[in-house]
Amino acid sequence: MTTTEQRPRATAETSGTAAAGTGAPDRATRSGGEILIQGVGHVFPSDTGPVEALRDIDLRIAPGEFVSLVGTSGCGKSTLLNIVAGLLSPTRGTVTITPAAQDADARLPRRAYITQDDRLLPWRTAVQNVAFPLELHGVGKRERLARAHELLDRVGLADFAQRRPSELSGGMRQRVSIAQALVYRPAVLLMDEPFGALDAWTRESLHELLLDVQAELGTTTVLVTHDVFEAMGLSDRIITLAPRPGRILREYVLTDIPRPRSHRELQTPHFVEIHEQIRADLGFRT
Amino acid sequence: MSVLTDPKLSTELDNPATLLPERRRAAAGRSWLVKAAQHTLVVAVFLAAWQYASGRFVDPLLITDPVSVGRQLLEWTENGLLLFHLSFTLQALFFGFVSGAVAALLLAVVFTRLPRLGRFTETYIIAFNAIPNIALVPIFIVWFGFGIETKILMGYLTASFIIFIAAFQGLRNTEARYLELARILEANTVQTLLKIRIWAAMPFLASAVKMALPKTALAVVIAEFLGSNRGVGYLVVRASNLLDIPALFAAVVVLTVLVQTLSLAAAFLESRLLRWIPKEKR
Repeated sequence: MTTTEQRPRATAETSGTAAAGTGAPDRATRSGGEILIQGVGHVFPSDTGPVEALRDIDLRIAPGEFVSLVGTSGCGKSTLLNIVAGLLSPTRGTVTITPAAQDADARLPRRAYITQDDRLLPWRTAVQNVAFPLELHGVGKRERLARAHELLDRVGLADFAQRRPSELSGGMRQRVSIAQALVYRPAVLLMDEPFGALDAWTRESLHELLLDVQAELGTTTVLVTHDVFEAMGLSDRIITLAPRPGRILREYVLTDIPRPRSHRELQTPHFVEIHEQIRADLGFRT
Repeated sequence: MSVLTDPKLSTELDNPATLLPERRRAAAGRSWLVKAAQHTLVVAVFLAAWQYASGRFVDPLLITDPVSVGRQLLEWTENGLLLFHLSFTLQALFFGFVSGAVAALLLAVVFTRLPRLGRFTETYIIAFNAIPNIALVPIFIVWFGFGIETKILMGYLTASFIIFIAAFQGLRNTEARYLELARILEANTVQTLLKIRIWAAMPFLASAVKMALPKTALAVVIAEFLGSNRGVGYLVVRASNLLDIPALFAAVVVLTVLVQTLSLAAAFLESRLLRWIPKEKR
């Protein structure tokens, strides 16, 4: 009934009860954790009676895997992500997040969440925002600022460390959000339409950045998007969801195609076929 | 050398952020000087006209003249009376305001944790606030006498009402996305309060302080009007009783300067605390 979490010591126990195979291989990772979603269902109360948002979701996401949830609006993909993030308790079922055994710092939170509207604190500068998660969990000032500056440098904002969010563009704010999410090396990175409000050029540069750091840190990543192309460019695996009630429709494994995937690669017959299947899943005419 | 090939010029054009603030600041400085000069001129003309009219068109016994008022102020400064009375008012203001602000903030924090109790109780607090403060002064005098306690209590009541209403509203209306961030980052309750809620409520708190500070000063002075042997309010009442018109005007000048200084100080404090909000949104 609740979202549970386990410390590294419990790893053996949980991975023993892993859900049905996903087809994606576990990658050697440094910080990626496993996400196990078992029998999750969710019902929202509403004025016109209860609304079933999710039904019988079973999903195992391997450490270091990059999974996209794709679906039309109302398919419950954001609800599912909120449940995995721990912001919402599911009506039924459980979500278990098992951090990597060599989890660097057990004090730090295990989840990071990036949304379309950034959650940067407007009274803090970029570097103070990035350092915020470390500040909350007792990392000394000198160390947390050094790590925050390092991450800002990594996302290409070294010169903007002292700017406040209101002085940054939308793309820059999302870069800061990514830096803030990665500064504490979370076991899982959850993203809900993170690039939805950005222009095409900014989106692409952020895709590149995301793939780079994801490959480097091996963070398990779940991306919610309605953009099939975005999902295809980034993911190891794409899960399509059907609406009312939200449920898993099909999954597409893309691990055989190396990344970064160029625009041209996304137009090969193999990709076009997958793309058309996904569109058909979502009810588009192909 | 063309505009486009001049390296210095082109970097400036490429990077307006480095250039614009300086220009803006210089322009702002100039316009500030002009404004100050204009105001000084207006006041000087007004005082000169008043001085000229006194004894010619208006009765100097009823509406004294600026020179007499100035002389009175100078005398009070020299014989220490100004400091004596001003320090009494400032003490009452300080203790009343600080205790009121602290109590209001603590209550708002508690009620933010217990929102249902808070909204229930808020009704009574607002109803109590509808009682005119002045009407309470005679009661306080009966209870606490003519000393500083009555003035502190008046200051306390005024400050705590204004700050409580603003703080409670500000603290309970923290944007959901900031609270979600706190949950994702596993911040504890105290951290959420100190590092997120208080800051998110800062616009409310700052404008409450800006409003409460001069109002608290006035409440203290009113308490002094109604029963005191010290304070700026007492200076006004004593001058009135003695029909000493220059002293009366001088006391009003002291009062005006006091309240105006507090307003300016609060506005300055507000702009410092809210520096993170872009100017056009403040």
